[in-house]
Amino acid sequence: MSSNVRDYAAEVYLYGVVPAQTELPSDLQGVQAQPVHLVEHGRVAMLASEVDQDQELGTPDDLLAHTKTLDEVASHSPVLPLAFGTVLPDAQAVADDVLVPGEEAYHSAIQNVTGHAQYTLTVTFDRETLLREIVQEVPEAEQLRATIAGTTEDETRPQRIQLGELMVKALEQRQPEAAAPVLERLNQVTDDLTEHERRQPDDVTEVAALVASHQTEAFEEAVEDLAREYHPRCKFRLVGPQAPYDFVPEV
Amino acid sequence: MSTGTMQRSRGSYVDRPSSSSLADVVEIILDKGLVIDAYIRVSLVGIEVLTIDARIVIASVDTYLRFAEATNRLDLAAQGGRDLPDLMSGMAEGGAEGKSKGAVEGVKEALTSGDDDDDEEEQPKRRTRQSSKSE
Repeated sequence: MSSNVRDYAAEVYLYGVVPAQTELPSDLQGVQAQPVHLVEHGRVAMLASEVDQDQELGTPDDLLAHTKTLDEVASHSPVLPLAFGTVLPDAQAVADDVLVPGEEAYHSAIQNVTGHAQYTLTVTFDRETLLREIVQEVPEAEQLRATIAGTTEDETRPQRIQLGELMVKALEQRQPEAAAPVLERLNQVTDDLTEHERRQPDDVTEVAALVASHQTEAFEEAVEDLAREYHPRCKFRLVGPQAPYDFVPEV
Repeated sequence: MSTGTMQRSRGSYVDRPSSSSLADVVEIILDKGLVIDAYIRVSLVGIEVLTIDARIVIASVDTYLRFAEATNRLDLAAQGGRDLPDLMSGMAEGGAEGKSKGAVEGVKEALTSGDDDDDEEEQPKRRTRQSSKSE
């Protein structure tokens, strides 16, 4: 199948770099529901599919297909994910402009992720539990709550902003203490951890973990144990195994 | 891989989706990965706004008002809070966080004719929860 790819005169969409001769799942469907092929060069190969000019590219379905393709390949073989949305003019350019100059760097980066999978763990405060806790611990919060009770937003806007700020700050104060034991525990059962930026005041932490296959069981147990221990204050959501999106080198 | 992840979900405190939802993918994966310089990056069509929404500034008046309202709605008489899941989820939908998730769902439904993988895979999970509660 991979030999046909070089005949592509059309634009090609790229997913990620794998070792040469990687066997792909037979029904691998990429963006625009196109079949995914390999473009090979030396010890590395690119996962690619032809772009259909008549279809829109870059839809949410395409983003899901991009991810699904990489995650499926990653469950059988090491892969270096490319950022979503990379398009080259034709298959020849994939070889000449990407694989030829990058072969060495890609080959060694692939060694780093071989036998590993990424998991992404999101820990958030249970909002009601925490707000309740804060109101009970901080008299000023309880007073402001009493002030705004039964009023409209227009009537008590300054008090509302004051209360909200107080609650958000109280959550922020509690966040490091809640995140630290999670990170410490995960460090023991992973090869690498990357903490993502927090987005909401009730986010405790979001971490991408690079987990070696021999660590998988210990990692999953650690997450289970943490979730049990911090229930009901914190909620745990685990996505994976995934392709190592957070652990590609700067090439 | 999805079959392996389903097995642990029962009796677990960890929410483990069997496949990544669009919201997961946008929040976790978009912007990640190798960048091939000098070539076209096709941008995500339709939900650019969402990716900005998802990175809401924590210290903003909107966020404060949202948390004030959430605090206002607490029923302190109901100790433990387990009696109010419906009220809470309704409130979350009203907030900005809920809005951004709602936007994803909306876009997803609009563009995927409403019967995509996520919907199929979420349903059995809900059934499991309901049946385990009623037992």
